[in-house]
This record gives sequence, C-alpha cells and structure tokens, in this order.
Amino acid sequence: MTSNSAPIFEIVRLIDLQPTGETGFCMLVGPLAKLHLIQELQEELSIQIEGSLAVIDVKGETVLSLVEQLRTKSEAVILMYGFDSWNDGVFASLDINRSMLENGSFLVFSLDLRTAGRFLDNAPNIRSFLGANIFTVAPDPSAMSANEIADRLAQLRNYYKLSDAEIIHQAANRSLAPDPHFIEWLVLLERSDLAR
Amino acid sequence: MPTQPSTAAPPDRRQRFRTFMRRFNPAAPAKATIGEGLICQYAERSVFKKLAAGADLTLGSQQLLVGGIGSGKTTELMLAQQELAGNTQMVPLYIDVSAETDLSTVNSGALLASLGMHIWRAVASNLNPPVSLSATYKALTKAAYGYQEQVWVEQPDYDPSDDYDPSDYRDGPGYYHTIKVSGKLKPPFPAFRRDVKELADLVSSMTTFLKERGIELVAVFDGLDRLIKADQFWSVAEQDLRAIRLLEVSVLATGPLSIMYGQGRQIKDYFDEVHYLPPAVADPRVSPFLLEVLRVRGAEDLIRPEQMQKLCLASGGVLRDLISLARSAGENAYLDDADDIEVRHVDRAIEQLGNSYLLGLGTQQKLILQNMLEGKGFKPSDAESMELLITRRVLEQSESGYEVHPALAAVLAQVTNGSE
Repeated sequence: MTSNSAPIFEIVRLIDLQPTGETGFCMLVGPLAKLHLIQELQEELSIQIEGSLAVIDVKGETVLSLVEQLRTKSEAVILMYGFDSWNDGVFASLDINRSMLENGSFLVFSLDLRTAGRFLDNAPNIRSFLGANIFTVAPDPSAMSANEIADRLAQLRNYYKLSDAEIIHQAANRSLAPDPHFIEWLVLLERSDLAR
Repeated sequence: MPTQPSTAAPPDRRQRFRTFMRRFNPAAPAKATIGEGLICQYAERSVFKKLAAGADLTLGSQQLLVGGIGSGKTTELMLAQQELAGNTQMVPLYIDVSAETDLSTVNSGALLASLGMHIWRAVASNLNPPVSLSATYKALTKAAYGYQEQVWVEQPDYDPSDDYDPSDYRDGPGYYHTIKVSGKLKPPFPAFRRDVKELADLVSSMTTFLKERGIELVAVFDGLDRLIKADQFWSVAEQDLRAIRLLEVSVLATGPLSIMYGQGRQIKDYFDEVHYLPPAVADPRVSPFLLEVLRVRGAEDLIRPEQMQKLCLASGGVLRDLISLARSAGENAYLDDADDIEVRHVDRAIEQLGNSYLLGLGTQQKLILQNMLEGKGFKPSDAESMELLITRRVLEQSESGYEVHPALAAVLAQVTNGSE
C-alpha cells in the first residue's frame, strides 16, 4: 500500500501539536465527499482544540487572489479544495510564491489522487514543506453503525468486483493499488494494519 | 458528537511533544531557527564564511549559492548576513524576493526595486537622508509599486482626413508603420531595458549616498532558487544583476540546482563564484553532522541514538527531510500514545516520507529509478531525469554519482517485491 491513511480525528490531533502561530502544511488525498470532510473536520476541531476552520474553494482563483484570501483569514485551520481546476502552471506559480502562504495557520490542501500527483510534481518546494504530512482520509468505523459499514462494504465490492478476501490478500502481499477507496475498505474491515 | 471517546493526552506529555514539534518544524522560517539556536554550524559543510569573505574582500562581487530543495541555502545566506553585519562598514540587506513580488512571471527590475526599497529603509532608520534622496525614494516607490496617471484619449468621431497630406499617398490610401529590422551583429550582452536602466539610476543615487559615507552594501537575495528551471531563473535575474554590478553592490543570491546541469552551466559562468551545497553525508559513521543537527534540536529527549542514526540514513542527507522524518516519527509516537519515539515510529516515518515521494511518479520515472536500484546508473540528461533530481527523488552523491532517495528506495523495493 502506498498511501498514509489517517482518520480525521488523528489529523486533528496532529494539528493540535502544531506550535501556535507557525504555518503548518498538510495534504488530504481522497474522494471523500467535500461536505462530509468539512463537517467532520469542523466537529473534530471544535471538540479537540476549540479551533476554528476556514474553507476556500480555489476554483477560479489565481495564486495571488488565493494569497490575498489567506492573508485575511485568522482561523487556526484553513482547508482549500477545488485544485482539480488548476493547470500545472498555476501549481508551479504557487510553489514559486510559497513564502506568501505563510500566514500562521495550519493549511490543508484537499484534493483527489490524480490532482495530488500534479500538485506535488509541479510544486517541489511545497512538497518539501509537506514532508510526510500527506494523508488519505480514512473513515472512522467507531462513528458508523454496523448497517452503515455493511452498506458501504457492499458498495465497494460491487464497484470493484472484488471480495473482502481478495482485498486483504492483495494488501498483505503489497500489490494493492494506491487508491484511497482501498484504504477505506481495509479500515472498514478492521484491517487498517494492512493499509500501512 | 465526538467520534472518539478521548483523545486528549495528559498535559505534560502533550507539552513534551509540542516542544519537540516546535524544534522539528520543516516549514519554520530559517530566521526563527537561527534565533533559537537550533542550527548546527559545521565547518566542513558550511559555506557562509566563504560567502561573507567573498563579499568582504571583493567589492561588487556576485556570488551564487546553489543546492537542492531543503539543503539549507536560506540558513547559509542568513548566517553570511550575520557575519557581514559584524563589520561596521558593511550593510548587508537580506531580501526574500519571492515574498515581495510574484516571481512566476518574468519581472525584470524586481530585484532592483526590492534592493532600492531596502536601502531606503536602512538609510531612513540610521542616517538623516537629504531632501534629494527623499525625492529619489518617491520616484522609486512609483517604479516599484506602480502609479496612476492621466492620458489623453482621442474622440471617436475624430476625422483624420482633416490632416490628410497628399504627399503621403502612394498606391492607395494607407499609412506608414515603423518596424525594426535586426542587424547582423548582435551586442555581446543584452542591452538594459529602459525601465531597468531608469530604476538602476534611482538606486544608484542611494548607493552613492552610502558610499560617500564609507558604507559598503551587500544585497542578499533569497528565493530565486524557487525558479527551478535555469532559463526561468536567468530571465528574471539577468538584467537586474548586470545593473547591480555597475553599482558596486556585492550580491549573494540563491539559485536552483538546475544551474549545475546542461545549459545552466553557461549561467554559472556569469557569477564571480558559485558555491554548491550538496546533500550532507547521511551516514553518521562517516560524518557526525546530521546527528549533531538532531542533537542541537534536542532529539535525544525522545529518540534513542540508534533510531537517530536510522533517521540520518533515511534522509539521504537532505536537511529538511531529516527534520520532517524526526517530526513525523514524533507524530507517530504521539498518536500511538507512546512516551518516546520507538523503532516502529521511525520505520513508519521513513515509509511515510517514501510514500510521499512515490505519489505522482510516472511510469517512465519509475523505470529510471528501478534501473538505478539495479545499478544501471543515472544521467541527468533529459527532462524526466532532471525532474527526479529537482524533486529530490534522486540525490547527488558527487559530481557524477547519484542515488535514489533512501526513503523512496525502501518503498519502491516493497512495491517491487509485492508485485513479483
């Protein structure tokens, strides 16, 4: 498996470790529904650290207009999404201007797997800041009912035409593709150990 | 509703880890890191004394500091600035160009404008500038940040036939449009653009004012290394650096790693001296530098020596990666509710960094890396290979030796073994 998975509550625990006033960088890779992700992040922030969340849709934004928005935000955490609309040149421009991103907040870039690859390839300086802080958001089974888990597993089996046993086998021998859906699958099967 | 019953760590444990995180923040500004005494000055590696000596001994010299992402260039520049500031006759001005302007568009004059504004701040806060220099500052401000002016707009119903001159009539109605025909001899160096020349004249007034008082200026330009392609770097820097050379202001600047390769080598020749900051020696048995980097930041509070060695080796000698790895290991221990960083937290951190380098790798690039791991060598001769170098998936070991970043190599080996 080639993704680092963590549920939102763990990511918020990491945000809590970030020294106050220092800009932090984190990337969330995955197909989780945007509203669900925002809501869960908001809840966990208020429960764990009483932190506030700002959300920016970067679609249609230029780098400079995004920087301007970041400068006016005072929230502890800023989640940005909509990067799939950016071309490679905009990512490169963001990278060159990375000093302008330093606003003292914890910056979360939320994007799908393909866009994450483009982002990181065109923004090597920001990649360097992110270091290992690139996560696939894993579901938190403790927050789901047994029926919800069963329904979601059935969806995944049906979509990928694979059984639970096949997923576990592929993960165990490290031949499972680096898809956030597969991580979610393993977590729901309570085999998150194989997602590492 | 909480999704977890309890995630709060006891305050003292949380505080221990928070203190650790503050010391191991890969995104922390170099100025803060230096100020807190968290850097390790190691004579065999540091180049800041050479940079400072070059600026001190040769007035108007231009030096370039080149290295990969996360190699510590900004720290070296700032230390050079500190060193120079110890000389009362010198005023070193640190300028993070990327924080002052959008470098992603070709913007000749940006370095000059930034330099002029920084000189003015130094003059205004330490000396009593004459009225003439204040006027120069106002003109410089206009050039730096732009201004509004009124222009005459012709009326749409204006009839040009009123001014018609029959002698202009040739084969039919028309007008002469001026075009420029290039000559066969091109000047050896590009001429200065008019706006850059005007800007240089303004800055020259300020540098002259300081020179008359026996003060030597050193411009320390940081951020230019973000222009990762050599031609991109040069298109932004060339005009300004040539103009600054005439002002007899010494320059220290950062440049991208790509200057060491291909056509970038021609750019190298422009500078009086180019200092290359390679990845540090990763193996603590060969050089203690990286271990010292960890120790100075207090790694021993949470990590045992053998795990520190492992982190050093996995960093490939990239300083920021070493900081990231230590931080990530700390995060893993914290999430695991452990009191100290143990071997599994270090292993996990290495895998996490390797995974982040793996993300976005294309098929061709994977093949290049696989060939390297099989001992087939590496040549940074094409775009794919250069990108691997620039993104630090491949690291320079010497002028002609390269290695796959150790954290990435470990993950690639797992992927390969799994698919066999």
